[in-house]
Amino acid sequence: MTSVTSLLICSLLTANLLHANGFNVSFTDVTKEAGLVEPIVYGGIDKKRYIIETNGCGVAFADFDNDGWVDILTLTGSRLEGFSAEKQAPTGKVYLNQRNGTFKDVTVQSGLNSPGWASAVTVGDYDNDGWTDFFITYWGQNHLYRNRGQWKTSGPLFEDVTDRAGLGQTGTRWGSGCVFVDADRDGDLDLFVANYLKFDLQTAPTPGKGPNCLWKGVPVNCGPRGFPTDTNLFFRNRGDGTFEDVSQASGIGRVQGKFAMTALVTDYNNDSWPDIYVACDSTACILYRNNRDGTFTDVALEAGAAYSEDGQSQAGMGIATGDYDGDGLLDIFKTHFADDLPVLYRNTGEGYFEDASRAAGFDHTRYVQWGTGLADLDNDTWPDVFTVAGNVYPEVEARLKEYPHRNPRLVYRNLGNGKFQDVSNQVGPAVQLPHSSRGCAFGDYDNDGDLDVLTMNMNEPPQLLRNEHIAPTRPGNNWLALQLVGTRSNRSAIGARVRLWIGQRVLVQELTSQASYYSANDPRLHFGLGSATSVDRGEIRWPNGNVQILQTLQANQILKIEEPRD
Amino acid sequence: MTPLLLVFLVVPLLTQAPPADNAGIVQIQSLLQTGKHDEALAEIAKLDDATRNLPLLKHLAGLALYQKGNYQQAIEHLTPSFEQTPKGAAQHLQAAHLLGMSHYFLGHMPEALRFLAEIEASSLDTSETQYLRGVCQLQAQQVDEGRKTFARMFSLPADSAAAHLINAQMMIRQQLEEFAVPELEKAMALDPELPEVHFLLGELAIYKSDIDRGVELLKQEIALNPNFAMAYYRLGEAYTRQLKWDEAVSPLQKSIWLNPFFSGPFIVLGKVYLKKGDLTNAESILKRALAMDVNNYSGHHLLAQVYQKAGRQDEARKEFQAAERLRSDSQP
Repeated sequence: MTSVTSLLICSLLTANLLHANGFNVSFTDVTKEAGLVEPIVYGGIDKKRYIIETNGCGVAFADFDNDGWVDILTLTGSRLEGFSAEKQAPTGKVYLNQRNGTFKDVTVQSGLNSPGWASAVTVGDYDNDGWTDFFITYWGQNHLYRNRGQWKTSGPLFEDVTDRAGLGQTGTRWGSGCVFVDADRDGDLDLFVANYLKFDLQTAPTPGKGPNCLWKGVPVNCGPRGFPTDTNLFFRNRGDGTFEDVSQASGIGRVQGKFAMTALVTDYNNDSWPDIYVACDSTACILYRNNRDGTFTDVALEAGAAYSEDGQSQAGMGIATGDYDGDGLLDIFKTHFADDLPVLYRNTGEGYFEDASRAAGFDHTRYVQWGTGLADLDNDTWPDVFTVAGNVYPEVEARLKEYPHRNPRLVYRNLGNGKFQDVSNQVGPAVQLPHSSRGCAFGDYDNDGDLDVLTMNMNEPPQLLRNEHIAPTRPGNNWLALQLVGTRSNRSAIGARVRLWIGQRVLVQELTSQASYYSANDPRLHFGLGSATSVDRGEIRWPNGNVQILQTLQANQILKIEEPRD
Repeated sequence: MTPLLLVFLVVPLLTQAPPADNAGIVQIQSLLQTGKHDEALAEIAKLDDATRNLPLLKHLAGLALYQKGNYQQAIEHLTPSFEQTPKGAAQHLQAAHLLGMSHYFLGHMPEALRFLAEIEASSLDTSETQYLRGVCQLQAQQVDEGRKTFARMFSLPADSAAAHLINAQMMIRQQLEEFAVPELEKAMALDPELPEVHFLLGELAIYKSDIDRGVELLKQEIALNPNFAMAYYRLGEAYTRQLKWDEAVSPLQKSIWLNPFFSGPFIVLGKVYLKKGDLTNAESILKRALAMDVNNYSGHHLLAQVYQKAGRQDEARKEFQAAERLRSDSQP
């Protein structure tokens, strides 16, 4: 192995699989003690007049100060009535990990100064300077924030470089999903931006005033049907800190008629070129296949990732990717509206997916599901499913108790045989607390070797759920986290694919810049290893296509791996 | 309601117009009768302000706008006619009728209900207005009122088991499933052997993901009503929700044998064969389904998957594209 530096966080000598027949995971709500007390404002609390108030926003785990501990970024919305001069409009918040279970709110010095209706965040080092930047979409102007790397001096931590980078826009669009992706594999991150729909507060119908403004007999906010759709955007990174709008030339902007939401970078067809999957609300989803020449083609239909297995459109919200069935191929999990089931698209390895939702044990729920992850919560090598939910019509529960506004989280254990088991009521009371949530992110904020969860809750503080799989008195299963640093590829290594072998078992993950719902996960790839104390061998396919072979890797550490320079 | 009928209904109103304007009104009426809404509106626009603002002229303009599908403007023109004419008068009733319809088409259910209630038991109260009024009542959660309206529409006693069944069916059509269950339970209590009560309860159980109960109820329906093809179809479909592909075959086949003119069970059976890996039978049955229901995008979508699995990529692509075209055509 070349250029590998090892940062041993903890060494756990006992590594037996505990409770072989159970799911050895519980979550503790540590929000308050972690210092995350500020509510995330998003529209009306008990009434939503317009769809702009309903979709909420994302959150992110990212290491902004390069100290090896993930920090937190939360986005925010606004209120229809605005804010008085005394009460400033809220902005997103940056919380710095203090490495002791708490976070410090550094928003004031962060330089974040873009209030409004934020949607999604993508995280990555777009200028390859070694510091993690981020891009946020809004109803209105989107914003690119560059990390100035000034974490030990005074002055703003981030600077808004939107205009300088060529990302200023005219007119009001409703930015939704967004991803940094090195589409042309030239070593810098390009930018994909989805747009949800065309929304004008002056002309939008009010609740109950239109054919798309009733739900189960209750007048509710209207849409998305009835609103005009918009097209998506693609910006090529020129490598000098600026972007060029190539939406039309790339084919991205030619796809029409979609209510686009969360976006995900994934190489679905294993050709070493990053593709982009976009969950779409009430319309066919988009799978932009990278044509390897700077253009994309939407192949969702023939790839089996546009609709349900019967060809019905679903209300795509959040997306997760992972290898749920252990065949070495990356599958896709997508969340939907109430009275539907989430979809689990099994990658066949032949360039298309099969809908395995029911076979895997998923069924209809009463919940509108949003952020989600295929995350190995008990480190048993099999990625589980964690999903947050919340109804978009707070008015409905007064008449129909079956459709509550605030919902518990949903947790499904991967049984390792292609099926999942609902264990939502077995993972601690914190998961049962009802919230109206949207985004959520997965990461190991306390570096203890298990995946914690950060959720966005509408008009409440976020919730930080600490995973107690590994605790001081309980070692849990083994694990390995990989922090990838690109040198010839983009520095964030977005799009890198890692495969690890334990005997005959292969584990695979890709590094994404957005997932869940409008959110960004801990960029360190976290692998549960079960009882294995080491990985026999590994392979990193860097974003530029080069493959690096890894020899035996010891369990229970965070490994920082730099891409070979030669 | 057809525009022609609406124009004839205007005729008695002529007697209320000033004699000097009768000729112009007759011409406007004639234009409306022949579907020339724009020309009628142009004629009205030529009139002086005072005449144009007469309730009758506003009424005719409202009628023209209604016929054009411009419901918001129709409401604006018809409201004075409704407000300035005596209750029970022909013009008042017709204005109420058109206002109720216009509000309904705009999704303004409470307003629609208010106007449609005005014409209840009048000569304008047809099956169509009864249906719309019943829908509005259900949307307003006026369950008993809705049942009475639908009972009248179907000539049933309002407190009969059949009336509860019809009301529940209408609720399901309006996606008010939660309210349909108590109605069906009342129907069952009044007449335990009434056909289709078990069927609808079974469908609702399946909708709520209680597949086992759904299967049981569908079997009970079949025991009461063995000639009911739809019950076999839904039973087969329920088995597919449980991934019981082999058990799904028989009820789907029975459904087809009872009613070979409905594509639904053919398509689900095609899906069953696809899941079982029997691509030959899947292709055959889906083609039969599409022969009778060529615009069914689910059928094309499933046939595309059959071709895809068989490695016939060009044919798969064509079927996916056919499904997409049909889907685009059918979306609002």
